[in-house]
Amino acid sequence: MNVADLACALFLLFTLGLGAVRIAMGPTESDRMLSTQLFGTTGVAILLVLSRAVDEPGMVDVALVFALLAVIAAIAFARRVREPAPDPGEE
Amino acid sequence: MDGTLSGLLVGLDVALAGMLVGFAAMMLTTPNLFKSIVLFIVFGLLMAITWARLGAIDVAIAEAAIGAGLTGALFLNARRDLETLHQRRRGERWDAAGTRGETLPAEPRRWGPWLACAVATVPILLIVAWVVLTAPARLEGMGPEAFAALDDSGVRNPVTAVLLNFRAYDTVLEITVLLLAVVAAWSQRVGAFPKADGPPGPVLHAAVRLLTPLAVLVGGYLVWRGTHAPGGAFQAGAVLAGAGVLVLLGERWLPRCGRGGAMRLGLAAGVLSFVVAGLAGLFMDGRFLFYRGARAAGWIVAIDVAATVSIALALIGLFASRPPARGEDA
Amino acid sequence: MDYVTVALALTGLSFFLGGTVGLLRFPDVYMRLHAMTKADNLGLGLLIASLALRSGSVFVAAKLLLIWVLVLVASTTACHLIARTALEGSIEPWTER
Repeated sequence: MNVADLACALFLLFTLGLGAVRIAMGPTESDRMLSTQLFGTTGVAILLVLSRAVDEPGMVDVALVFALLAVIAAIAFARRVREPAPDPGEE
Repeated sequence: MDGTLSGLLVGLDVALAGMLVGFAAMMLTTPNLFKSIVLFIVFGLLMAITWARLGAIDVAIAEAAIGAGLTGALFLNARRDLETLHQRRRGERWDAAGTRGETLPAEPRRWGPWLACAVATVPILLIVAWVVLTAPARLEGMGPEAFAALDDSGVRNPVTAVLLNFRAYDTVLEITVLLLAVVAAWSQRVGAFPKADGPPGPVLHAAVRLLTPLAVLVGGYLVWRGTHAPGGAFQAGAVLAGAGVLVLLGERWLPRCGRGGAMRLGLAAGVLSFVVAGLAGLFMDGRFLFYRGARAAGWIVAIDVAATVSIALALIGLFASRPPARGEDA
Repeated sequence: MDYVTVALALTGLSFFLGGTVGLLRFPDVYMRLHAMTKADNLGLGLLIASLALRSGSVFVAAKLLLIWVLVLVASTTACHLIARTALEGSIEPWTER
């Protein structure tokens, strides 16, 4: 058990709360999507710090999976936002 | 020092719980569909942290992979199709990145249903609170029996032992349900996997090239670790599905698989392996899905690998939302 | 815990805070992307450096570094793609003073 690490985790969680404001406010979809990236990176940080704080080494694996898969949502957003352009013959 | 520690722990738990509830409330009350999808992804990420904090590492890995990443991608897919449909009906051209705001018709806020739900929830809340507050401090459950039988189960990770040995029936049915979901989804549409507007670009290609092998490696690592540490078929399958989704989105190496025979076999492999193991148990020990001792480890590893392949293919199939077209990708 | 790791961790945390503040305060999606991605990745790197120094095992430190590289690649790609999506969606960069 480790006070400093716990304090770090709490602080990072607080920054996450701040980031949620951008999801609520952000006028465009890109704004909202970039907040998920914030949550992804900060989430990795929280997990790594918590892993030291409560002495649970398995959390590092959760952070690994986090890092890998949080980006898939962003890629899916970028590649699936638009309908493909109609064939040139139609327009 | 100890006071600060427990104070901080309580603070952490309160903050996590508060944020979870807050996000859920926002997600359910916003009329903006995209906002609620993003909130769902973020909620999933927080949920994974919560599971980790509660000590349930296997669930945390599964939640991070499936709940946050893959379900987010699935929802974004679905939303895009919905928006396209609505805009086609109105004869408009697609407006990217929501610069004009949401085009799905926003429903007027009606308070009647909310009130009814709130009223109905109160007695449930009271019952749950009463149960939680009057329950004994330590609930035994089947924990001791499970741990006692752990050596006989063939693996050293109690979660895997429960999932694939003691409560194997549950897992068989879960995998069957997943297979049925793929069948249902695949019956909705046919054709080639739709490409996105515009070329993928060098950055995406490089990322796919770097991340896909890593994801496959992590998936294999998780399956192997499932026998003695947090991991297992669902987690590994989800990570491998992530790799598959990356390849699909990157649109560069679309695998050719003809009529998709190999993929269908892979999808069925999970259920099949369970059935084979079950029948073997029936013939050798007189009970379906019963294996103990030295033989059990072999069966569990085989089932684990088969289930991983099945789950990965099923999730990829759900994302593609169409069966493999002839001569095209899977 | 010696001073180096504490200093690294504190600097990392301040970068995280800076990134989030930038996310909230900048007037334009491109600037927000810029601030958040760079600051958060750097903050994560510093935090991981601090954790790696304290871990006492080469294997654990290597795993932590791998995670950092992974986050770098992943979030850079995501940042680029989101920016491209915004640009192609005709979101004009903010140009006032």
